[in-house]
Amino acid sequence: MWFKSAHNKSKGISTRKETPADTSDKSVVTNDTEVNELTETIESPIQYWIDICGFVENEQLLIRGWAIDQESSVSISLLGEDKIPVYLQSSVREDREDVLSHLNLKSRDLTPGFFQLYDCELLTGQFYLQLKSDKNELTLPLDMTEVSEEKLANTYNEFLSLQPNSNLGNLSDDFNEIDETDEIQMHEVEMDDVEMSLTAAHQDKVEEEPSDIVHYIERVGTFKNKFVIIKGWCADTVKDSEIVFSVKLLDSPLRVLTCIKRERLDVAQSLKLTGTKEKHGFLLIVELNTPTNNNLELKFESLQSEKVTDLDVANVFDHKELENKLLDTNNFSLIEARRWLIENLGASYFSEVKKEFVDINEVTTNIQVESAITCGQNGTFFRGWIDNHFNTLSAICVSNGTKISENLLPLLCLKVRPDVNDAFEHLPSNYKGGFYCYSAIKKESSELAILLFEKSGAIVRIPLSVMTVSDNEVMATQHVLVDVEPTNNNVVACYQDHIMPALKGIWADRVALPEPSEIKTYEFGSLNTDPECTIIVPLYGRYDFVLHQISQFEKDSTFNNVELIYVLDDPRIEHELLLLCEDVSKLYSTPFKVITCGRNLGFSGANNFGVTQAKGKRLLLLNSDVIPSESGWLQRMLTKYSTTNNIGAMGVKLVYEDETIQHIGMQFNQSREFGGIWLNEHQYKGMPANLAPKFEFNKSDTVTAACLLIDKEKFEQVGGFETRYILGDFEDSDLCLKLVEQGYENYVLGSEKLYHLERQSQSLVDQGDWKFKLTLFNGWQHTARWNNMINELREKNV
Amino acid sequence: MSNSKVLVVSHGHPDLSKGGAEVAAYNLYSEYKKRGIESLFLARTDIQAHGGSTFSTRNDENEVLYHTAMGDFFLFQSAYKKHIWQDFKLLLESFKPTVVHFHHYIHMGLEMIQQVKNSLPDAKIIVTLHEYLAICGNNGQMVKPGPQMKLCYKAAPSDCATCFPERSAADFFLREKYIKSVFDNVDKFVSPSDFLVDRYVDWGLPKEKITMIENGQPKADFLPPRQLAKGECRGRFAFFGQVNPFKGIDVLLQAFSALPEKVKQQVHLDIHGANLEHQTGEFKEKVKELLGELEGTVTMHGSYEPHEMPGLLAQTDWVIIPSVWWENSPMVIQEAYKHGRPLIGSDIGGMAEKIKDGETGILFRTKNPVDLASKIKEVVSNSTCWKKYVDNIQVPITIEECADIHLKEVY
Repeated sequence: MWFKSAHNKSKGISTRKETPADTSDKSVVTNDTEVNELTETIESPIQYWIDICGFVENEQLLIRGWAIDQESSVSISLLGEDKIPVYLQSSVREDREDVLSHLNLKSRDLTPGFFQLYDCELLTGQFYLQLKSDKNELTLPLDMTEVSEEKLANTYNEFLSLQPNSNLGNLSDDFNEIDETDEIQMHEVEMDDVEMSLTAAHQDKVEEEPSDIVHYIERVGTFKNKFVIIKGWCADTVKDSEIVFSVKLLDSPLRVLTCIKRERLDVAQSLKLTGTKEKHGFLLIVELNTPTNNNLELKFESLQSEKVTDLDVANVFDHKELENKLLDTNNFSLIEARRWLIENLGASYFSEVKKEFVDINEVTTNIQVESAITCGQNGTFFRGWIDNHFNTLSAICVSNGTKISENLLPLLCLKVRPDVNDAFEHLPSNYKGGFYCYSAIKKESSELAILLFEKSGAIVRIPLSVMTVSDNEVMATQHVLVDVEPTNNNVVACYQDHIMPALKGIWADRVALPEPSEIKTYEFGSLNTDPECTIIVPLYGRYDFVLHQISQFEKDSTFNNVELIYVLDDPRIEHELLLLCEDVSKLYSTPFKVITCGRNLGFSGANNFGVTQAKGKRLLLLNSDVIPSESGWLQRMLTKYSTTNNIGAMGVKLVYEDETIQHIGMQFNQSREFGGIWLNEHQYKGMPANLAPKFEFNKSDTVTAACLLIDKEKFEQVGGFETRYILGDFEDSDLCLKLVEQGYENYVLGSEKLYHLERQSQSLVDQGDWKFKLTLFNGWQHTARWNNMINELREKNV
Repeated sequence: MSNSKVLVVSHGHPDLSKGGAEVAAYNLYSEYKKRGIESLFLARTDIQAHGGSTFSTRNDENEVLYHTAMGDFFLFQSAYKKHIWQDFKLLLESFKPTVVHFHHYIHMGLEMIQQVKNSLPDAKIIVTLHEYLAICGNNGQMVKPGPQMKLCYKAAPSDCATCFPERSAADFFLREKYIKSVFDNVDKFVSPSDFLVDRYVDWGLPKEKITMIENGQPKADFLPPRQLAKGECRGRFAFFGQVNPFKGIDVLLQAFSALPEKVKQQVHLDIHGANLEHQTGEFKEKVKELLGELEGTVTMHGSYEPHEMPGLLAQTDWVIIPSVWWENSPMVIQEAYKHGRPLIGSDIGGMAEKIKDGETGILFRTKNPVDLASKIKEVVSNSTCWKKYVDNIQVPITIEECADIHLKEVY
């Protein structure tokens, strides 16, 4: 389906580096070695090179290169995954003196260069380039060259300027229309040689043989010179088995986009074939690979028989007739037919039907989009309200000018909007008009719009003004979460289909690990180059904890053998932090370093980043607000860790400043209220230590990451912290469960006490609305991943 | 009692809120601790805890703050039930008290009593009654809503529904049923006044389940009589408490305003109390206007700390308690007695019980400024009665005595 190819890049074209020699717009082959390399790898006399290959607007593929077979010309065609040629929009041949002179073929009258534009709108998957000469043929998977968007755009402009008329210049329009006659002329150059050789073959064709199959073609016509519509009936009069169709143009197969069968009682009765379930009427829509006046060859194949017939395609259909043909199949209402055609024929049909779009005021349905957000590379999220109270809407889709989404109407997450219901008298108070929705369609060259397909047949286009997230992921997240109803029965589906892809897209860039070029390191004091342990402390918001930690670490001889890394995860405080570190390093001898990548990675990302810079065999992940209660703590932790078999993560006892428990291990608590998600519970939290259980060293499936000791190797083995938990929740229990999954056991060292001056409230009820919803969403992600294991562990522990 | 472990539950910690009930609860807890009885003081607070936890500690690990709130003041329902069925439960199961003494349930929720029964079926549950909360939906005041503040003598679902038109008699019936079902779990009730006992017995609590114990007071000696200037009479009056309509401050000011000019010159009223600025329109305006009229006769002092009480009383001859609601066992009466000062009070409820008219002080007709004015006039002209009343004062029980009674008769 058309909508499934949501991204240019998802088309099956792998990326290939440009040749180093290719610094100009065209590659000039500069030495023999390179050419030899190229030709050696492919065992064919055809030599070729692709200078540039990439998608330009409206899903068109632009290819420039050259190909030659010894001393003869080579024809070029692009094939889809089904090895059927793709619709050639326009083509230019180039002399390429550079190539000819290099190959010593300068004297010959050859034009090896090709410069072509294919319409790939309806295709996904792998593409192939087919090179054909008189004697040889070569088909190879097509790689997209790695090229900047700017260069691609320049090449495209150059291509447009080479066109004999200005019509192609309009390609930059939303949906383009191409003048038919010009189009045909343009291709004549390309088609000539191929055509001549094939016409002969055509004439040789033998007379039709007798066949079990009977058929009748009722109507044939072309639409926009790109599609052929064939309506008729056929039947295998002996077996009445299913008949499949294939279509060829000049011996080249064409892509049958759809074949809709329809019951034809009249046919069945006259042929006395009423006993079977076979439907005999058919409607074929076939994609041409180039405009043509030649006859097509339609082939019917049943189990035991086949039949071929020629079709004259002189007849031209307009879009109304096209719609009528679909209606005739009894499979569609008018509006369904229209949406089907937009979805399946793309721009060619859209450019016609859009002339008939109506204004929202002319239909019964009403819609208001209150916000729309670009979700990174993912897609688009939008929310607002819709009044479809009279059930007049057939479908709602998002379109970005080249693609249309699936019907989102059954997928919308709906809620009651009292304000809307109050505003419109006909809406009952329980009408669910509020909606939010994610669609994989994203903004590209032209504006995003919502298309409403009314049952009446009318189509309304509502432009979406899309907010692009740049450095304000939090605000975007708030928009995404505002309508979520965490206690709603269908909230899981909403998370899965809408919230997750939206938030994932919004945060993807932010949580990506930094490139080496982004990293800045500041060293204070001389750091141990072979430490036993690396302590990683992310800093966000407050930086004064650096002073408090280092003044406590100072007294501790363990720190002679430790690498202390502060990961600055908050660019706002960089200046102040460095000033403080400078002073601290003058007054204290504990060496440490500060690393930053100039952006906020979040708790998981910051720790993962810190680990990439760690030299120690072991890692102590430490919050900045954790302060030791006595020296030697780390050594004791390390000793215990190294003497415990099969240990994964080790936590400690953490207490608040008033000596009440902050953490002695975590356990899972299922929330019935919020769809049964598992929440992490710090048992005995806030309880005076004398009322909490006392223990030396206990197993605990999950421990907090506020102070967590782990082998670096094990941390890396499980892939570090998960970054899917937005703004940090659940990543510690997720890490612990990954360790359990790998067969390790996690522990809490109850005899070692540190202070954890936890600031922010971890309690769900005390948090703001969106943060609360985010926690639940993260909890759902965590539960979706770990529910089975949590249940197993709980059973085991009972 | 040597093996008992006592959990004292209070709706506030006196470090953070100095109400009479909080102080009484804390005094008892401190006394138990002094005697070596293992005790835990659990005090509710509305301030945020570290890391959003339900508990934290204050002073030491035996004084636990309970960070919670009530969501429904009609049925006394906790806003965060999980605090009860998860956190309070864990605290009960960890500490394992043999006695759980609730000095209040407001701001925390009646569900706590149910939880004690569930977690520790053998523990004794004691509830000290304050106000008429269980009986009356109007903040337990037994005063009808509205500016007239009519006194209520008996709660009945149909009558209560007329006080609260938004609720039905059935609502009040269910409320009573529910509260009584929770109270069935209580082993003993403590009431600081006989009047309160009577009201709760009227309402349906078994008389044998209720013990009257006044709140214990720290030991103190009588203050010496205020030094009088030559020819001066005992005309120095003081009011202690919140400035709100229930406390009858308007009645008090009207009475002073009604005094003959000659008497006015011989008297002075000190008002020690805050919150006038938090009151609403009419009352606030009325009080402000009267204060303006009485400039020179009345001085507003604002709030005071408990330890300042003796110093303030030393400059006072009479303490006036003009409340227009029943009161229970007002602390100010005990404070005044403890320091040897007689009282003038409204002739209802807790005041009528604790002030013996013509023996330890004088009663006047509630809400009647003319009567109060005549009583003031009387005591100013009759200089001998003051000494007689002081001599008759019975010193309130001490904290030690109060603890003794609890330990012997209640737990």
